[in-house]
Amino acid sequence: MSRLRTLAESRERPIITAEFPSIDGGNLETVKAKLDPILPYVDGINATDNPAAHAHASNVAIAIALKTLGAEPIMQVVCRDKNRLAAQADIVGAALFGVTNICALTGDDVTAGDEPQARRVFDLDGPSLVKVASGLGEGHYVSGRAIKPAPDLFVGAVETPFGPPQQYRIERARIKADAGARFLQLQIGYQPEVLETFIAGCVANGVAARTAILPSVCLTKTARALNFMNDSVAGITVPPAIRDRVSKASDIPEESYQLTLELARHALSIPGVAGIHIADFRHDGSFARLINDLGLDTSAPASTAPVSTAAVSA
Amino acid sequence: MWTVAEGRSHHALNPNSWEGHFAELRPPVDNQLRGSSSWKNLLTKRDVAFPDGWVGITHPADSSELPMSSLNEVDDINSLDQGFHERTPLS
Repeated sequence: MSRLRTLAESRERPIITAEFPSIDGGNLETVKAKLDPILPYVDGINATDNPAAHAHASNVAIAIALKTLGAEPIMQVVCRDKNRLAAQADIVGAALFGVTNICALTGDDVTAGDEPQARRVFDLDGPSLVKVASGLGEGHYVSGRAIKPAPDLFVGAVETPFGPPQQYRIERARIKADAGARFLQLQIGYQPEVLETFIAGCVANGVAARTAILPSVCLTKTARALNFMNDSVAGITVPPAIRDRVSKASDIPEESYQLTLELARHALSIPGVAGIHIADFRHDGSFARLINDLGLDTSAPASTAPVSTAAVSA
Repeated sequence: MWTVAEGRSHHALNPNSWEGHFAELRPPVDNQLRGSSSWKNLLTKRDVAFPDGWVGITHPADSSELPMSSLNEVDDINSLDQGFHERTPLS
């Protein structure tokens, strides 16, 4: 059983997952160089699937590389680039190498990337891919053809609490949980009150009890990064007060870090939250600092060394 | 457009069933139905004939009945039926 699954089911301590940077060239040493700084601090690492509609080394290749290098990959599968045959083949194929955490998402439109001329597929959408992946874990393809032995998959999804219509996002989380999602990584957000509303809704409708909800924070070190996310990334709003706070600070990198720390502490303090997902755009050691400042410890096996969420909310 | 549609689904003039559709898990589109009559598919319930795996039915896998190789190649991809969602020319 995967470490992510063990923690999601036991909730013995907060789960820490991270986004792995995209890889475009090199070899396993290239992957290792980017993995080493974060590996000791995470329970799972996302192997992304052409993020923001830009082509990179494939999700399957990166997931297998991460597994080979001792990490626990979470293989993202998007619906934009592959039909149901290819998506199923990727999931079942990766499972042969021990890649069993699957994160299903619809994916950005091709117009978000640098090859907007590309054909969209969208044979499935995010929620239906969750159900298809769950079916693979139960031992059958969409056709009903049996898979023996069935891959021991742990399927999750993503959700965007901050995009309109916000009330529907809670319902969409429920749809994905019903389809089989057992973890939900949330879009990066800078609106704590919106996150609280979303989590409260997921507690009320029962999603938080059966699906590990992981809000996301992003380590940045410039005001420009916040402006970019606000202006160019769908589903992310960075309120002017937060952008002003960072841009007018005497030490912008430090203020950016403190902002992320505050957001992470707040997210982990919300009842119903099972952990945190971290995207690191700084690559300067801040990832380890954040984990230490949050009082988290992922060095012990998942079945030991519990860390209270109360400790991190202080 | 989608968010506008979701918002209007709550409007008092819309039947409640429209609102409920947004909360449904949609099955995979059956691309074989492209070009066929929606009304006919509705009346014959062909539009709710879902793949077995989608509804939880598993067939025993007999590998001896499955093709083990595929050496066929389409000569002209423009001769193929185009994608359900994409109606632009292939070339």
